Parts: sequence; C-alpha cells; structure tokens
Amino acid sequence: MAEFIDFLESTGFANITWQQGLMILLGLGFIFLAVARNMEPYELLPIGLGIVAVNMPLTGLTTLPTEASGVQEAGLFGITFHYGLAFWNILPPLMFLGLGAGTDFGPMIANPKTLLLGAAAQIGIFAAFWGALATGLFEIPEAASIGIIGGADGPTTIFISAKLAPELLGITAVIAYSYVATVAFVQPPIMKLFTTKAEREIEMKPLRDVTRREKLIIPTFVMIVVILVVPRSAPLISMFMIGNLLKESGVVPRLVQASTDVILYVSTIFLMLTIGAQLVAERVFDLETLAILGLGLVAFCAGTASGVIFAKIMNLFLNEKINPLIGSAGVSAVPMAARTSHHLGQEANPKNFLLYHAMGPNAAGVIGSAAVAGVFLALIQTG
Amino acid sequence: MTFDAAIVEEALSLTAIGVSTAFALLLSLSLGVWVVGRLFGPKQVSTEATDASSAERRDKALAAAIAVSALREIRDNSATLPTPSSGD
Repeated sequence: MAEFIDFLESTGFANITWQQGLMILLGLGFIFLAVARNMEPYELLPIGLGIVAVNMPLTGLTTLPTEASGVQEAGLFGITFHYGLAFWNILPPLMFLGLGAGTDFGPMIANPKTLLLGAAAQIGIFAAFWGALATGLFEIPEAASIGIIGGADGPTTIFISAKLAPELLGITAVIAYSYVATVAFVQPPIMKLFTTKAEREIEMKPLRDVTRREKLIIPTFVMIVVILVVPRSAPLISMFMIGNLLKESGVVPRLVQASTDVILYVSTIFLMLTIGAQLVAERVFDLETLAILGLGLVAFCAGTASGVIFAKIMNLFLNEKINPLIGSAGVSAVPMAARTSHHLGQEANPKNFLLYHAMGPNAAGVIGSAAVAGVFLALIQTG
Repeated sequence: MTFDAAIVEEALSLTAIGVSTAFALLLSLSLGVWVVGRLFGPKQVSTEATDASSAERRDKALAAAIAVSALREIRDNSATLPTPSSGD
C-alpha cells in the first residue's frame, strides 16, 4: 500500500499547481486560436503545444545543460533553448535566411525614399524602451528586449531577448507575435487618428519596373553597408540578404526551395516550441508580464504613429505626394502591415492600390529593426 | 517614477545613437539604391523620343491604310478578269 501511495504522489496529478493548470489552459487557448481561428497558426500552434508540454509537472523538459552534468541531465527544451537561442542563437538567423529568400525588394528599389519610413517606425522601439525604464521594473538590457517588440519582427525580438534578457525571452516573443497577429486591429485606429480623409485618398502612381541587375546588386550593397555600420546585426542581415540573393540569382532554385520551405519551417517548429517552453507558470504570473504586454502595445502604437507622421512630413518636401498610410508599414510585420495600409487606402479611395508601395517600407522596417538591434547588442553590457 | 542618473545617461545615449543610426543608415541606403537605379535601372525613354516614335507609328499606319485601300481598288477593278487557275 505504501508503494501505491508513493506512486500516486509521484504522478503529475498529485503535483500539478493551479498556476500550471492555468498555463495549460492558456496553451490550449493558443492552440484553439491557431486551429479554429487560423490566427498566426505557424507560430501560435507550436507555442501553444510547447506551453502545454512544459507546464506538466515533474517533466524536467526545461532543465538547462550544466557544466557539471553536460547535456545528460538536461531537458529536451533546455537543450534547444541553450543551443538554439541562448548560447549559439542559431534559430533566428536561420529563419531570416528563409524570410530573405521569400522577400521581394522590388518595391523598395523602385521607390527608395520609402526606406526612410522604415527608420521612422523604429521610434516605437525607443518609446517602449523608455516606458520599460519608467516602470522601474526593468534594467537597461531588459528594457531593450521589450522595446524591440516595437520592431514587430519576431526573429529580431527573439535574437535580442536571447542575448540581453533570456529570462524574458518567452514573454517578449509571444507578445511580439501576438501583436504582429493583431496588426489589422491595432494599427487602423492610429492610422486614421493621424491622417485626414484627403490624405488617405492620395493615389500613388504605379512603380517602375526593376531590372534583374538591380535586384542582384541591392541586397549585396545593403548587406555590406549595414554590416559595416552595425557589425552586430550581421547574423540577421547577412542571412536575410544571402537568402534574397539565392532567390534573385535564379540559378539555385533548390537552395531557394530549401530555404523557404525546409529550413524556414524546421526552424519555426523548434523556435516556437522553445518559446512556448519558456512560458512556465512562475514566469507568467508576474507583474512584469502585464507590464510587458502594455509596453508592447505602446511600442506598436508609437511605431505606427511615427511612420505615418514621418510620411506626412516627407510630403511637405515632395512634389509627388506619398499616401501617409504606407508609413505604418515601416514597423515590419511583413506582409500584414502592408496589407493593412492597402485596405485602409482602398476604404478611403477604391482606386487606391497601396500594397506594392507599402512593401517598400515593410522591407525597410526589417533592415531598420535589425540595425537598432545591432546597436543595442553593441552598446549594452549584460551581466 | 525615479530614474538613476547613470541609467538615464546610458538610455539617452542608446536612444540618440539608435535613432540616428537607423535614420542615417536608411538614408544612405536610400541614396545608394537611387544611384544603383540610375545606373542599372530600366533605360528612361525621353518624352520627345516617345512623341517622335508615336508620330512615326501614326504615319506608318496611315501609309498602310492607303496601301490597303489602293489594293482593294485594284482588285475591285480587276474582278472581271479571269482568276488564276488552281490546276484542275
């Protein structure tokens, strides 16, 4: 009988806490949103599954490798976190390879002035950075990890958090992806607030054609310049541009397919499961998490507003006006932010076709947030 | 909400460097992309050349129409003449 009681006490049923129960429900909620509502399924489904798996009691799945025991005593997600993110940080750059191979720089090349909108939208990063410091809950490395949520770029957020504030990785990544998923709801009220109907109605001329030679030269040029200015952004920028050059070269279709299919999706599975695995109960039920949720929203709103306002400022100096709605696409969130600009533009003027125009600031936003991430990594001392 | 002076100083320098780097970098990329576009982009066709070529096309179309009308006239006039035999 004593053995039976020992056995019962060793089961998960006897050891589960109410916080773990709530986290499992949260994980199931993510799974529901992904499956039933088709909301960011590639991210939310593995994250939800990761949450459910690690919040089961006594699994040891998140135990990190130690110098004493090596990986023998480590848990599965502890190993993927250590080697995939915290130590080697290889998963976000692999995702950037796939994203680069799927990106078209044509709109950015055809209308290079829209690159500046990608810079303006990075203001959101600093708004949330200062907001995080103002709460008094966070130090500078943590505030930078929270601020980078405003870049609306999941892999960049993960890359920075893993380096500067690994304890916040799960929370910042989930919040970044959650806001990216809700761009279509979060951005429009701000875009309308800062524009008049006449501004939203501005029609933009179709963009010029882009030659193959331009598409080959530009990624190389951007990679060299960005890495020379911000060397710490190299893992992200180099992989992004390498992926793009593979595509534009036109001579390695199988490598492009491998990048956009196999590599991207294998990295996504491990990255998102690992992020979900970081969301253990003791980290989530915490004032800091609520603060990060609010600050992430501040970052998104400020990034959207600054992109739109900067587009209006540019219009003061341009003969051929740009529709300020494309400014909000500078927050990255490829391609959802560009689609939001397009839909709002069409709502104001059915003849408007802004999607292609908004892809320019969208791609520039990826470069801009990687550059800011490089600045943070270069200047912030951790530990 | 109280800030430590050292933190404020570090945060200010991070903000200044971060914002100015993002703008300077993307401005220089924008100029670079524009220059590459001028050098390697599709060749611009001048308005004058476009006008000249459209006038030329119009003249050719007019000439073709005159030629077709003339041929029809000749064919109508020769309708009474025997057509070439197909061999049977």
